[in-house]
Amino acid sequence: MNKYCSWRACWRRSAISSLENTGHVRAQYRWGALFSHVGKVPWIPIILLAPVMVWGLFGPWMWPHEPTAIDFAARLKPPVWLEGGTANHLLGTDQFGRDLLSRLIEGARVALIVAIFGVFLAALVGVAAGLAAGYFGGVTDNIIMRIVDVKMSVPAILLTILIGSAIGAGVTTVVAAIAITFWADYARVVRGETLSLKERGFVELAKVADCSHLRILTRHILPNLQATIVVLVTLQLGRALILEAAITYIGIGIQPPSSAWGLMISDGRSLLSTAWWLAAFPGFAITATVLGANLLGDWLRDALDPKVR
Amino acid sequence: MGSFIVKRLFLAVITIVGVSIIVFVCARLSGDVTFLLLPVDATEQDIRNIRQSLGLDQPLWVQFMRFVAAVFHGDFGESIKYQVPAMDLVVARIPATVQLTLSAFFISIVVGIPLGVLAALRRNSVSDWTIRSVAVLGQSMPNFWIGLMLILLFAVKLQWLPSSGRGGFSHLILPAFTLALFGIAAIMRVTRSSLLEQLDMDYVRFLSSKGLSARLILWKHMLRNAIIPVLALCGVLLANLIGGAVIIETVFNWPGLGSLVVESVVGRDYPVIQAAVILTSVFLILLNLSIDVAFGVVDPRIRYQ
Amino acid sequence: MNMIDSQAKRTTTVSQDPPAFLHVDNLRTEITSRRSGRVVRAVNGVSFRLERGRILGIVGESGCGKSMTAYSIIRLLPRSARTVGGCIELEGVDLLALREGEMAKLRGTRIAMIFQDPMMTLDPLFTIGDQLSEPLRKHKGLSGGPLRERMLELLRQFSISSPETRLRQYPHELSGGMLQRVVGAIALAADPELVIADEPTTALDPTVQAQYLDLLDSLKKSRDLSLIIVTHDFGVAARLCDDILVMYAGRAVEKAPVEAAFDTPLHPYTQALLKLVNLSDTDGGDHFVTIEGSPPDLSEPIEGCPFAPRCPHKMPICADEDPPEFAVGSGAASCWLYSEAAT
Repeated sequence: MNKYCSWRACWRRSAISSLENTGHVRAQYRWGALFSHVGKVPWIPIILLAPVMVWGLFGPWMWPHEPTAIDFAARLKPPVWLEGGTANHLLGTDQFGRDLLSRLIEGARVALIVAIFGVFLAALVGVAAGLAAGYFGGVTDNIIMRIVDVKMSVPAILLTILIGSAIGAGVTTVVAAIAITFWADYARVVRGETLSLKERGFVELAKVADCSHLRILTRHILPNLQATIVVLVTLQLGRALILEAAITYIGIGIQPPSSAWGLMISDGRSLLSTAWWLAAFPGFAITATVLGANLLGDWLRDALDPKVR
Repeated sequence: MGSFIVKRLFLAVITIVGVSIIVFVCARLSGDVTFLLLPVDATEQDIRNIRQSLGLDQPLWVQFMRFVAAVFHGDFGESIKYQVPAMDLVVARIPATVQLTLSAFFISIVVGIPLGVLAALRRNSVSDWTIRSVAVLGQSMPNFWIGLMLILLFAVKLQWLPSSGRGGFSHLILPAFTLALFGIAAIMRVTRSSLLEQLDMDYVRFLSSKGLSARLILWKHMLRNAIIPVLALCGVLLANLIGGAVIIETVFNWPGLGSLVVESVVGRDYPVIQAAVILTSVFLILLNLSIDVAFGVVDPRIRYQ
Repeated sequence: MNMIDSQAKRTTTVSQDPPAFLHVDNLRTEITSRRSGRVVRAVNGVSFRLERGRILGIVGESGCGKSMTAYSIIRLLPRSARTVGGCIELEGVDLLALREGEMAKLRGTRIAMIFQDPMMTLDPLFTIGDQLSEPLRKHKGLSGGPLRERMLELLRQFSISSPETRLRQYPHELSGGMLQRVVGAIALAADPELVIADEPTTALDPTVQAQYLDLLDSLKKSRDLSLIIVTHDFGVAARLCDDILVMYAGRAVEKAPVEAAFDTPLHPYTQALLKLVNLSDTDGGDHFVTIEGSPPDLSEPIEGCPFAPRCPHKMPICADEDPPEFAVGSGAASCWLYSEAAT
């Protein structure tokens, strides 16, 4: 490819990354800088993410009611501050009298597990692919980048539907969908950085010293990608949560009677006119968590590499 | 330019083949279709017959070649639910999806670019800060949920707009706007950062050193240069909008491709899903190809290659 | 206290002279890092004078503030930089006091600028003709036939071959040397009197460099231009300039006519730089000579003379007090070595 084509490729890539909110992350990482950033603790992300972390880890000790406990006597109670609400059900109840707050707390765990598993799987596959493509180049690179192209030309949600229809609805589908949707981002970024690291002195030296490829990759290149990967993982946790909720909303994700947030919104849709809180609060929970992850990712990116745009 | 197009075309064909491999593999993974076609009390012989008639007894690569040939002719098989060709079902739904997606795309551009320019020109001001915060917040909300909240507000509480279905212009407003929110945020961000990047470029300083007015430099030179990354974004954005439309159509019961696909996945109507995925992908691949060519029109550096 | 003292001395020495064409006095420009908020004093009290028809060369290592000085004069600093003090007078008009609109009127017509990399200087999306026509339309009110005539004439003046074709071409279709000529033609289109060139030949091939310098020289003579050439290359300075200003750590450490600067350099920094040039010339440049140590961090306050830690003639006073400017012969140097000579 001539240089103008690669310019175009750059534009497209930068466009993609800004669109997907992953940003451009540089190779040099500065964990030390984290400490100089200690003066500026990211309070907003911490406050936004605290509920989901605490709820996810200690949910069973925290919910005021059993999330699945049906109580027909207390059906469709509004939140406590509205007329007819009770302090017994702070955020109200659904058509079966299940406590909304308790269900939100249970949903936090589902959200955490699914997003973390999915994103880590994506990182595993994507980093391996990116390393291979960038380090070995040639045919390997071509094949991997063509697969990335193919992935990019099918919208994530259609790919998910394809997978969902192949292996059926459920947690596995959600995790697979998240992994398949996000691996390509790691592959692209890691490939780019590996390409530039490969030219650096210490990698050349390792080659001269007759290190094995595996050793060069794991000892010399991978450690330099830590910051990049950490930032990418954080930013993608938020996007994974949204994808998970969307998949669940259209019915090929997590199935009832689980309290996944996407499922709760989907349940609340038919009761929108009578019990708006059922659809509203899970959405707030998702928004807060995703916003927290995004802001934390931005903070990490700034802290680890001051040269990043 | 000619060889550039040929090369892109070649890559596009490879990508299309890749997509069909994925669809084919997923079809195999989805299990034995014979059970969906046969009554429960079918005999061994029945099963063998139908497998033979479907070509399932052939080696995998033969099956794949047949699949590709069939796809090439637009034959995706019959919808299991409706018993009509899957292709016809999908094609019938395309206009609704195109209407929704293009409206959202149009809104994204018309709102996103001016907001981005405004934010860049008034950088670090209150309006810049507000625009950027709303964009960050908007990108953190699931769009189907925003859709529901808009329905709650405008359809249920205020009763200004219909909550679902396709009809007049009023039906289009809520789904198109919901779908566009993401695009507005994305276009605005790229426009802003791209324009700010131009500010420190030498060519802009040289234009100032010629004594040209700031207005001329902005509108004639900087915007045109800044728009290139935005153009690059448009292809990706359309792909995202088409994906997003699947969910939004479900939320608003918009009778497009998306709601058809979601309906089919619940009924495991694989031929329909297959047709929709392949048609969408081919469309997106061709779209990206034409955007590459469009780059040549805006940017003379490519035109002469 | 010391700093204020010495700056006061500088100011008084300069303002006693008769008014010059361009008079820069105690110019101070700061760059604020966007992320860390640290302030770098890129230009720290630079003063000099430039007469009509003369060429001043500002030389120094990268990061010494020479480009920032140039950008400060035409007031085209990057967003992160700001001129915080001093004055710049062009024939008695203080440029720093002008409003942006008034300054814009001077750009192109009185002051013009040529940048380092011609590939980055022109807008890639417009033809040469379009970009050349802009200043002519704006400042000369030309259009149609006369405009075209004038454009072709300008291109010919800058020895650009087949000017008719050039007008229709885009920047990326031309070679670097040709482009830098085009940039020159555009910069001089509206007949400015002062041209500031920031490393005008650095991005060009060595063979083309010489041609370009000759072109600048002949233009200066035919148009009675004043030029400021910012360069790190003593060869360029020696070839073209009448006067030399040596900068170090944001200060003007030596000012002298070109012959004096090269034959009898005053400041130890200039001496060290020239020794480097001579050494690498005689060795064919294949061994690396450097001045020991590195320039000071300009975001930290500097005690005494900024060059003191690297200076072979360091005296006790150097570490404590920033030297003022001492006139020596035809030139001047900010160095305590000349303290007796001045008094």
